[in-house]
Amino acid sequence: MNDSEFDRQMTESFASAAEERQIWPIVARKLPGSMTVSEWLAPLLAACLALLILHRVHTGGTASVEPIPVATIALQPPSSSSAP
Amino acid sequence: MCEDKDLLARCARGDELALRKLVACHQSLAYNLALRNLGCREDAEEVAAEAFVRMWRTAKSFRGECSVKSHLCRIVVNLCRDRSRRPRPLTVPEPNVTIGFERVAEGLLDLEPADRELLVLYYLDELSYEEIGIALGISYDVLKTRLVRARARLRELLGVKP
Repeated sequence: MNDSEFDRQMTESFASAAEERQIWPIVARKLPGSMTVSEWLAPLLAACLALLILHRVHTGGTASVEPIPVATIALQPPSSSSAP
Repeated sequence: MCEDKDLLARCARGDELALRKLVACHQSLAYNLALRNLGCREDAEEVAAEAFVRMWRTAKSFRGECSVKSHLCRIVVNLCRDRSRRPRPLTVPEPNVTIGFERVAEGLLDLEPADRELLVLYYLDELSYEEIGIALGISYDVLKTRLVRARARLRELLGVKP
């Protein structure tokens, strides 16, 4: 077998034995300061839950708040009996 | 490729998506190069991943004088050299070719590391002579001489006569 034929067989051999791997997860884990989806999703969900609980506590368990009729009281006309 | 260099430039600016694209493009080359040099799948995965992380960290110092592929191969080869354990033979499915890859894989692991690095890069068939020379840090003339010698040794180990 000459060198060209040997090279051809070797190249075919390497190609047929090539293996596929998804290595991004390992790369992502090794990156400095990088976080996986679960790592940033968990605190985000926890913060949302805390906000929801605070909102519930503040509003007494209801989603809507009745406005205080301050303007109505302030615009009451003076009583006629006290006029000179 | 020009696109590779653009992606690496984006890596230098901290763009993780660019790194992800580079990994998707070249993970097969990095992994198989490490696998054929180390003979262990777990080690090969670690080395391939580490190579991309190293490329990310050093992206700012990449001057673009060579292709990103040869730059990556150089990192992989260096990381493989750092792992001084003797490679273990791999059990691989027998491909449908005249010289079975199981024999080839065993023959490769019996070669000197320098010969193995060269032949793996050459037979992976993804890099030009120039790129292989850059990845190994040798000139074209040295590459040609070493290729003849390494091929002859592998042929001898496999019992393939001229």
